Amino acid sequence: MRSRHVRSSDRRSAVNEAFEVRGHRAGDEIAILEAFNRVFARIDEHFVPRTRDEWRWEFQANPGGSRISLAVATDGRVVAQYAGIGQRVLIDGRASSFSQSVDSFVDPDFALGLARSRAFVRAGELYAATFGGAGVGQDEVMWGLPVPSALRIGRRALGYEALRTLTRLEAPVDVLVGRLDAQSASEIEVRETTRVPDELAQLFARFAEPFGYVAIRDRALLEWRYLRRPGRSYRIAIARRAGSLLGLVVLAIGAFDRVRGGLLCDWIVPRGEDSAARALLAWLARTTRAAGESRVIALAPDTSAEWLAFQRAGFKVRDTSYLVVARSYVRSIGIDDLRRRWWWTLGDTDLV
Amino acid sequence: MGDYEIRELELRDVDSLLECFNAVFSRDDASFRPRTRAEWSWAFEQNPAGRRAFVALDGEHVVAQFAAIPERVWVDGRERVFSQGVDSMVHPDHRVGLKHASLFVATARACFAKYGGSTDVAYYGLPVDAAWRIGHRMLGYELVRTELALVRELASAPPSAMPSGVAEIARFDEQTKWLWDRCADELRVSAIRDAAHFNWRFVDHPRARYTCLGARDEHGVLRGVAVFRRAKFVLDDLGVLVEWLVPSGEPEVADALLAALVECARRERSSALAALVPPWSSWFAWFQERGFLVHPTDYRLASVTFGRAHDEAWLRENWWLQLSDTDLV
Repeated sequence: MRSRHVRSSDRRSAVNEAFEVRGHRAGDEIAILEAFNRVFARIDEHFVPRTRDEWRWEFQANPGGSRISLAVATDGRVVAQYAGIGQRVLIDGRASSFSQSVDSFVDPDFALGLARSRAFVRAGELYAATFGGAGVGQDEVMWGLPVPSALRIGRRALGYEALRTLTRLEAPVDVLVGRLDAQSASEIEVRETTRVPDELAQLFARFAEPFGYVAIRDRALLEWRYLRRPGRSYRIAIARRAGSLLGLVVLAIGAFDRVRGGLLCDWIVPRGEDSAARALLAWLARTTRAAGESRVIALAPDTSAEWLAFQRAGFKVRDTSYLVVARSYVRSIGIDDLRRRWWWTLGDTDLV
Repeated sequence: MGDYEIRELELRDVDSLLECFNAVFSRDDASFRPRTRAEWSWAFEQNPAGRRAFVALDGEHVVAQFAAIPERVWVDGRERVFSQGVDSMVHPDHRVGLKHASLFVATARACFAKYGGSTDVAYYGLPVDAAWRIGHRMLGYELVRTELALVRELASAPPSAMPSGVAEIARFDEQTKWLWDRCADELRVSAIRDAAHFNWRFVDHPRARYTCLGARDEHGVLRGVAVFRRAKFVLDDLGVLVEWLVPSGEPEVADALLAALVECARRERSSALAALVPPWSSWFAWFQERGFLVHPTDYRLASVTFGRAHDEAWLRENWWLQLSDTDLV
């Protein structure tokens, strides 16, 4: 639900208010990208235009699928988009689907205030009607991290509900290295890898067991998310004992909420594997330090046991500017239950 | 709805109000102790910030209430009011289908119409799931924050002396306001912590016993306040930091008061000390540096606000809220 609404720079150009709301069609990506790059460049001086490769990666190659609704002006311009990245999830062990709403926008040069809002809202309504639900190709939950303007309109027109305020976990690398090296177990071997290990399915099954809701981390997801993403690089490390896979982590160097560091994107370490967890945290800290950064940053649900375990390992909790919102399309999933039992990390978002 | 009179509570309604209150809240709580007139008076007559109470009457009988406890808050250079919703209820005989929500909603709206936006910037509370759903749908509750508790586990140790310079405060005086004045800028938006508020909130409380700790310099000047109580918060029996008023530039005062709080908790045989401060505050980091871990809670801080300038996002980023601003402990 990251989306942008900005003021029109020239209201005299806003003369044609007619638009059609529809789903994505093959070939739309050229018009979508043109509008997306124009809109976001106006509000973010550091914005780097999105390439077609990046768009295809995000919306066509995702194993969870993609969802797009558009408002298209009579001259063919895309004037509003509501879009989402599909996530294959397990709900108490049952396969289902969520989606993260991303990249939604309305063109500030299209029409005047109310008509412009209407284009965005109607694209959103079509989006919700098409993709929200328990049917095939639908998402039981849609969620996101909206900016304030998107939150207001989404709350009013699209039923967003606040799930939680978001905090981050942050640890100085020197603290982690000092603590964890002293506790390291010699039988744990940590190795960086450029391929997804064969035993990932068994590892994920053990990891996922305590969570009511968790996005499926399988070969297709990890290869798409971390190994094939254009323009970004991630580092994967695995921990083994006597050859058995005990944990996998993914690290990126960058910034989250304007704070730079080593970003823990994914953490697939089953509970009880404390030695592997310590060894992987030590690898994260050392690798972050070698990259010239001074802190490791992570997201984890504050309702998970991992949240406290990270703090006991040396992480501190810090405020962020983010609010997580969600909408459930099925009676069986309440927002409160989602807050209490859903596992997610930075890698579930499009922030890294 | 036409059968009910909805209006601001008058003193002649109080006996009927208490009868209704005790009937409603005793139904599902075996440990419920009926509220007395003295307790009601403390909450709704003696509060220096005044009273917010609207009732629905069926004839002469109170059958529903929307009530809130106001606090005087310093906002944008002037005194305004935040009000904590408490004790809202509808008598069981008047809960039929949607009527329950409607009577509650109508009573709340009458209160918002009189005070919301004019004197009262925000109404807030920590609603349970069902109350949140009604409030969100019908009254515009929005989420300020999912609350996190700071908790420090305590190793058992024999009781020892209070730190030098820290002593119990029997009653607050004018130095309280002087101390709050020194803290007010860094607290961004906070309830005005003066003698009237603290004496009402802690010293004169009709049921709870609080230990009010003051740190003073060699001239007797009050440099910091911490209020302790053994209570149920997150867990059944914790040492709880209810109120913390210390200038952030005086860490020696903070350390002395924290040592005194730990001592209070040990004397009460509490296994842990818990606190609640906003994550934006430097104190949130400070307590973590002193061994507190951040735990989730089931509490969701919700608000109803009356303008975009002071909405729930503004509250989230600016409001200094502690347990003393709630009726949890």
